[in-house]
Amino acid sequence: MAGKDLNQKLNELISSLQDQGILDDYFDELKGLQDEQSPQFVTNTITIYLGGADDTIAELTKNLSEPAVNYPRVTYLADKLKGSSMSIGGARMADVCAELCEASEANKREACLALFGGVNREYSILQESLNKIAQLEQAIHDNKD
Amino acid sequence: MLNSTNANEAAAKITALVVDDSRINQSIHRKLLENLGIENQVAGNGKEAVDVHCSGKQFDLILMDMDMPIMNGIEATRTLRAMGIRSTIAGVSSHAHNENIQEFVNAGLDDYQEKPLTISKLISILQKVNIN
Repeated sequence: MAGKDLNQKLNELISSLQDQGILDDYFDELKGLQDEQSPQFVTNTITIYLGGADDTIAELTKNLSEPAVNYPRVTYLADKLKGSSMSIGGARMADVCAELCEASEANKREACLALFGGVNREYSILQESLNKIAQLEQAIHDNKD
Repeated sequence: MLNSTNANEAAAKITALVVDDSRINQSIHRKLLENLGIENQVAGNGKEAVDVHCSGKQFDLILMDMDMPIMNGIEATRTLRAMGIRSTIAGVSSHAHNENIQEFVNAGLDDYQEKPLTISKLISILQKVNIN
């Protein structure tokens, strides 16, 4: 059945992402919250995460391009991005954000710039992965209707 | 021992306030509470949490984030306790520094859990809630 295939594809995708460390076990916890009352909880949560992350990364880009970096602001933004990434199960993303936080707390400009490159790379991977999950979730939801 | 069924029965009588500036955490924490049958609402920062109490509302449980704009969780917890609020306040944060966590606890927390919040961590928090 198409529905069973889609669920299998979704489970395989999630497992693969967890094997690569892109997602951790907390994503399973999120999926477990989805129920008949909130059948699109995972998709909605992904949308909230990506929207917030886009804004935070845009602000980090602006702050880190200033001649005089506002390190307290960068630390706050990196910590915020770390927290939201942990809440979506984005393990690798959360880790690189934590490193950026530390570099910013130490006022290390070059380290911040290098690590922010890492943040952008990991975010690109996570964003693509979450969009694939959201597409499969939507297809499964549409298949049930 | 509090299992999932008992937790649902006990939790059905509890009200909660989620204090967090992060939309994703607001969504997840509310869903965790809803799935346990706990009526809840949201405050986007510590000042909103204080204001909602000043309006006369009270809650059995407050899930308090630490780092928030305008008024952080440490200041909000201190203020609520100074106002005589005796609700169970559980600090929930992803903060790495132990000295900040200790300051948070000293402000008047009944419990502290590291983010991300899970069902089992929430059930652990609920065991500390005093129903008035």
